[in-house]
Amino acid sequence: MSETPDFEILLDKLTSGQLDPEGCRLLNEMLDKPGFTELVEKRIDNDLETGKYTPEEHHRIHEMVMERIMKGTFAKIGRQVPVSEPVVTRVHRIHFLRRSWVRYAAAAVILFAVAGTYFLLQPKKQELLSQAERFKNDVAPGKTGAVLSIEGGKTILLDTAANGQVLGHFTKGDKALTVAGTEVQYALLSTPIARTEVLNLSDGSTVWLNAESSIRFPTVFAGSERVVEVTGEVYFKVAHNANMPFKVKVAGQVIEDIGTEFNINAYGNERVLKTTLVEGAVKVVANGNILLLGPGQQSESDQTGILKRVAIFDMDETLAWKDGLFTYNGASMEAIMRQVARWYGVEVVYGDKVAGEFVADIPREVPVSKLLNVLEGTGKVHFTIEGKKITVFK
Amino acid sequence: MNPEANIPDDDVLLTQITSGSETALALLIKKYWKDIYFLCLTYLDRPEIAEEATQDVFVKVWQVRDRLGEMNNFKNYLFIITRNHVFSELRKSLHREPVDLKMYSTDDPEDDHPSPQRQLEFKEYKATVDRAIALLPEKRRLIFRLSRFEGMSYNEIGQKLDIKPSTINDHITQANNFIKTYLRAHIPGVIISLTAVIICLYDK
Repeated sequence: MSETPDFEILLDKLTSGQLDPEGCRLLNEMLDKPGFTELVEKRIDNDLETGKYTPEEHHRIHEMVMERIMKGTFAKIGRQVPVSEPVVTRVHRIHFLRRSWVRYAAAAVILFAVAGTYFLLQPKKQELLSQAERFKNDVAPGKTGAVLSIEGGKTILLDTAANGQVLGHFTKGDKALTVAGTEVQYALLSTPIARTEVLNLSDGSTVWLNAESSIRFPTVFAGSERVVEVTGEVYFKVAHNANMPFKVKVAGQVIEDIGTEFNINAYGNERVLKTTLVEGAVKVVANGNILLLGPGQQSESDQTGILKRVAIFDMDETLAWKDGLFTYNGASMEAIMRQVARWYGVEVVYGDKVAGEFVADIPREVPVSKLLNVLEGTGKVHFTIEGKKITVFK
Repeated sequence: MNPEANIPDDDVLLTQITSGSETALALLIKKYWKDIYFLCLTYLDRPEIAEEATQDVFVKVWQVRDRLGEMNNFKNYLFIITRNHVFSELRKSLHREPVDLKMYSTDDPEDDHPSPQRQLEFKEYKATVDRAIALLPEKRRLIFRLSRFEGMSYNEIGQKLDIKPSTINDHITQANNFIKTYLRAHIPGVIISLTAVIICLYDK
């Protein structure tokens, strides 16, 4: 048939999402004609057998799709999804189009999340003490605030300082601290537990500091390079200056920026040091190894200093802190509780080991009881709060 | 992490499903959902439709479990059900508006004065699509960009990168599938309404 080649082309366009309405109409017509049905069926058979559309990589969103399919299938046959190993626990993700609404409606958000659906497991009802008995007190979330000191000079607590000029070269605003020096002096800005801070450097770059982090920087950049040193978790938005490359020193590595946005996670008690690139390009140098990162890429290095590019990671999870959220896409309870300890300034103790992977989106500006409630809603973990100590139980 | 690692062989699963084991059904789903879902998504365009179709395949298997008996090739049987299902759904989907991913990533489209709400939603969708694109493997991302943002044909891309056009086609398909799945994962329930938004925003 002379139309067969066109038919194949139409199918190619269909599968690559490039079939226009006219093509749809043509294809539909052809499917009425005898012989074409077999061609399509054969093509589909072939596609299935070769698995040509099945992705090799396993992304976390695949977990979510699988669970919806699992739940939907069992709902349609009128049965419960069976419990299986490995244990996977899900708290339904709620995504809001406008983040600001999330901040105003924090309580409603959490309740909704708890009332949401469980995808894989039906939680067993546990004999628990009432929440009033388990949570003896609450702990408020961190607020913006930090410690600023000039090397060889004064130190101030930013919380207690009034807005306006501080320590000579700095201007403290509601949202950020800005520095504009005339002579080079080194300063250190550090955040303790449960604090974040935003810093505008003299070159127009902006830096976000997570809790327990620090940045050492000059009040004005001079010379051929702009160099800063950091610890903890810091997000950079670097102002472009081709004549003066921007470099970040962290834990024995140097990250050289090429006019970009990137996140560095270098907490000592995390297993690896991660640099994540959002936009532009950076060059990561560690132990004589060099790695160039493009947008959406992440590098990891561990205690042995080995540097590698991470194939798959979750951008949302990595950058959630900057948006004022806790986002987990399959995180372990230990990883979650490390963040909780940093943000609320609490000590975390384990009564039981809690297995499983958790998925959740929770605003940071909620008291810790609300966050723990959300996690408890999975039925896989529960907590007690006493003073500044949180104990984790199965 | 390979979720398919510890699943029993097909003949074991078949025997158990025939005797009504729900666990076996769950394992069957774990084993084959990816193959089925991504094929459905490729032919039927909408992630939520692909999910429903995938569910229906497994439901069908369960419903006829008494009559399954012993067969040599259980996987083949699953795929036949899938193929038949996709074929019958295909006619329906050809009548629907396709999801045009290019439109999610264009800057400042001409608009018929969309409401501020819609504008904000659009910004959010665009940001989500951009993130999805950033997550694609390097080569695939490059191919996608060259095709969608620079308008190069498959032949042109194939020549530039020294890759067969049919392989380019496959990369585009995989990229589309990933982006659609990612969009649905992060902004559930919005694809259909977004397409309506796009129709409002654009004058075809």
